Amino acid sequence: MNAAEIDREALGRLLRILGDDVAELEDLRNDYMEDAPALARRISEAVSQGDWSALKIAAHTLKSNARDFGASRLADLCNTLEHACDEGRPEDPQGIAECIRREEEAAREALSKICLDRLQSGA
Amino acid sequence: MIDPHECEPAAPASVLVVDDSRFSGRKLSKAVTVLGHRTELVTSGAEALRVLNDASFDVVLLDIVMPEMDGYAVLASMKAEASLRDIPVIVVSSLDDETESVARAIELGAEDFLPKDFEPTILRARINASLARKRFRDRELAYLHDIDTLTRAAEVIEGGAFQPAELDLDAVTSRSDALGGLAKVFRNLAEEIYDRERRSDLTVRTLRGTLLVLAAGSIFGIAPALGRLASRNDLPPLGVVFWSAVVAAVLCLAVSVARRGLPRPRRRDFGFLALWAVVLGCLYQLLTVVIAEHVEATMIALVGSTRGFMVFLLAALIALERPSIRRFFGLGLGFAAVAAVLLMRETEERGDLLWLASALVLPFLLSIHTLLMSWRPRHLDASATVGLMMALSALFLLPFALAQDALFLPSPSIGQREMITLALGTSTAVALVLALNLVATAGPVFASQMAYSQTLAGIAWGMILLGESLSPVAWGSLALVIVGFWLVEPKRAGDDFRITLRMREDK
Repeated sequence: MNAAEIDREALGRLLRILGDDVAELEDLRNDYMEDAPALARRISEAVSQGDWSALKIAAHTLKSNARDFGASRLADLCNTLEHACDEGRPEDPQGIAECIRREEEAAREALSKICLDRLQSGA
Repeated sequence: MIDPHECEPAAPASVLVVDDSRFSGRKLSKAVTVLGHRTELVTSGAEALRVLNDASFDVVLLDIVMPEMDGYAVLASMKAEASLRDIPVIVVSSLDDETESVARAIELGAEDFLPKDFEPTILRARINASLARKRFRDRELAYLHDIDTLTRAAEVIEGGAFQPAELDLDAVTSRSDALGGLAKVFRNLAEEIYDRERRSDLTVRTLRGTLLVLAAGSIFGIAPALGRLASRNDLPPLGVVFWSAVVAAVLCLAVSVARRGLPRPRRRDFGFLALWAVVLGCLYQLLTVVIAEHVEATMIALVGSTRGFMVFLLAALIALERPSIRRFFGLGLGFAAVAAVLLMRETEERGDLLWLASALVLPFLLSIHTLLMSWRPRHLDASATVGLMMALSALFLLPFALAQDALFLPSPSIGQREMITLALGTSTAVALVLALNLVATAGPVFASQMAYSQTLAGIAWGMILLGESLSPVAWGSLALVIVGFWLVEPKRAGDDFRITLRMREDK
């Protein structure tokens, strides 16, 4: 799988929302780093249990978080899964859940490498 | 009118953020804080409702998709509760794919929506717009509440009886707009009417009190002259006082039964009635007749005028009424007027000094009687109260009269003995009923001025019954006593005074 790309423009918007508070953004990134793998795990568990409601909520939350941090591919995968839940039982949920798990790992790794201080200076 | 432009949407507000995602909630909270508002973050719908019931918030930012209780359920609960209904809710949604969710939330009563990937300027604009509407609504509610308060105040006045404090208009009069001005005018008018009615009540009390003082004093003042007549006819004092008590009791109870049916005294009333019977019906009446054997009626009347001071001092001591220089001066003027007329009058016979000094017991007993009348049982009318007291007096006097062999049997053919007894009983009954009304109308200190009218009446009755004449000085002194009445003033209506207005009916 290709290494995940982080949309720096989305990260810049998040920083503006936080009043250009890099420390706050750093804290939020730490929260994301903790929450994202937990959400991916919850998606896998919901798929194996056939709990489409829990699956939808977990996919919705991870989608929003990923979009804020510029993990667009991960957000799109979650969006697909969430909509599939709306329409009933998703097709190949295990396959999508596995894709989400891998993409989440990749996005997290890519995000951890970004120097947030440089966002503020526009670099 | 409420001016919507007066609202300040940008002023710091209290914002509740409801989002099950720790990350999203924290992002939103920080973004709102950056705008200068206070925030509280909760992570479930149930917690949101709990917090909303405990504290006051200006805006709620509500995520729709949440486990257990979602945003729709929170919205529905808020709209169902009157205290939360008017808090604007902005639903937070991924606009690109949740258009239907947003529409549903707005149908449920949400004020606005915010996309999850919002721009700070959009967040500011939506919060400010919601705050402006909320603050305008708050002002509108406060305005309606103040109108309601003003309407209630009008209803209190229309109800017929009020005190200014009951109008409770302080909050409305503190408004700086036209409604505040109207409330001020309304309250000032109500206070003006209240003061006017209170002054009018005082004038009426003074006039009624003066008339009662003159009437009761004039009638009660006959006692020393009758006592002296009794002694001249060698009538036993105990027998005269006993039969006069019987006459007074029969007369008063007959009037009371005819007007209101049988009086129904309560057990605790008998303590008051027994004490009053001992002080007035037994001791005062008996001592008046006994002392009148040795001291001329006019001297008893002179000594009687000291009662005004005694009541004044006793009432001040037991804090029944407030003392004042003006009242003291008024009582002194009455006393000086009475003293002047007696000192300028040539007396032909004076009792010896011991009997004259003992006559001071009479005004002292009358002072206690005047104060006692303040505590009369209110559920009994004046005639019943006096009738029961005089009946008890007769009962107390009976064994003594029997023991002293003083209980003569009245003759069916009315002679002087019967006339004296009838006159003493009747005058006592009428004077006491008037005195009870006087104390209720004007208070005991004002009623104590009965001492002066009683003194002057005592002199007059002495002159009429004992053949003396009334000098011009006595008339002048009477005028001074009346001036004294006005200086003492009756008891003012207390803070519990309620005026009663008759409202004109619309035709």
